[in-house]
Amino acid sequence: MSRVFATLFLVATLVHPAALAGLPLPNRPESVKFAVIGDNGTGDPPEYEVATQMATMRAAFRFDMVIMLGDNMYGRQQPEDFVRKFARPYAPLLDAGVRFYAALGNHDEQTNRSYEPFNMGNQRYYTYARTNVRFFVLDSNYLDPTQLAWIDGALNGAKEEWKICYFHHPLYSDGRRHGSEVELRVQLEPLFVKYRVDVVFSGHDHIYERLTPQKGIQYFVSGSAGQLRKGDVNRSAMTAASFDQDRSFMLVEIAGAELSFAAISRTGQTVDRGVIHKELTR
Amino acid sequence: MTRLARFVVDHFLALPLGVLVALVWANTRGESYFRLAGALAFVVNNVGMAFAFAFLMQEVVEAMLPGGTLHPWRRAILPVVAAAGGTLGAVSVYALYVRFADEPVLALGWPIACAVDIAVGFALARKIFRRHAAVTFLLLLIIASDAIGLVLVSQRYPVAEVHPAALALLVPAIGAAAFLRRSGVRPSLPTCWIGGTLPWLA
Repeated sequence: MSRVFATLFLVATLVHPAALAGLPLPNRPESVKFAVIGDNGTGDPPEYEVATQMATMRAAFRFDMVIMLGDNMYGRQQPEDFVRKFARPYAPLLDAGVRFYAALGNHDEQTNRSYEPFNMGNQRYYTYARTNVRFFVLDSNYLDPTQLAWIDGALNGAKEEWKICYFHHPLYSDGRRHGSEVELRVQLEPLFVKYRVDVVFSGHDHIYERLTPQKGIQYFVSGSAGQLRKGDVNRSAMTAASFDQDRSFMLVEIAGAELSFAAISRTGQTVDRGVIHKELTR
Repeated sequence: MTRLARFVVDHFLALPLGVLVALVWANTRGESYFRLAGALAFVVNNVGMAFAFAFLMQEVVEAMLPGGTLHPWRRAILPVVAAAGGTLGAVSVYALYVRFADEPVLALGWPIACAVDIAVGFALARKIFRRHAAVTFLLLLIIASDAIGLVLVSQRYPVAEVHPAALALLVPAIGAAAFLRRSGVRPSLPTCWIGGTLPWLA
């Protein structure tokens, strides 16, 4: 009998779309699935190659949203640039109905918040939810008292089980070029700890890095979906995993008390993966 | 006062030494530095700086009185005009840099190009010119530049509600100061409280 079950399990595993695609994620039905890109808007071939890889992955892993960690647009930001640096590379995803939710980076014009496909509702900072996950998008370029009061209230009022924050400048980073934004950390981290934020995504450093949990919060730097600073990771005691040899993006899946993540390179190689468990309150 | 402390004061070294300590501290133990800076922000920006401004304004006002180096007003207007030209030049350079460096987020901060650090400027000027008239000229130029910057910021990017009517508080403050002076009261901390609190509130 046990052999029958074992055979059934093996067959089920093999025919599972995730296994077929060699996906590093469980790919459960009904889970919240999304992709993460940062520092992407160059309009250069590597951005297009990453976007193509994302579309390829989506064939098996049907994420319906992409979070953008800022620097969504480099250089000139005229209407034709929005086509060359955003609409064209991500056309397969946009055509499939994937929604992008952007945060502003230091290279983004403030007016970009009104660009409809970024879904920012003309706001510098905003929040939205997907089933049991609430996302908080901040403008780390200018963390004024009004924004701080807003995030305090928004985190306090969130009822969802998972709280995910994202913004451009990383509170923790081992990137040589920029590194941790300590002044920002002093202001935001107490709120994140107080309201039990689970995961924080940032860009700015053109690398991929997963930090060891800091005060119970999992931090990621994912700023190489278009730009790359090769060899920029200066590994330290807080580096859990890193990748600085090619462009990359992330795929994330949340189901119940489990968040699975994978960092995928421009060529489709899984450069990091893992699972974060949390104790659900109910 | 020890000889070292006197040397530091006489040679205006407190400020550069403080800057050096802050730089090293912020880059080695950033979290504790920014936590302290945040906690002291009000005391430094709203109390300490108020006294520093008062001290510097005293220099300018005395220079504008009869017999002073900036008397009559035609002399005083020169650094103000220079400040207007200086801010225009600084803002243009800033705008060029923002464009060249592809940092559009910094474009919003163009009024900051009008700002000149009064304390550093004064310390440098006194170090170089000692008691020369150039010091008060430079002080007025810097104050005018900062005033232009403040007006621009308050109009374009107000961080708090502006209450121009509060400037009316200056009238009783000046009245109180004039009364104390005519009464022959020597300047002291209590007189500072009377004459200084109302302008501070304004």
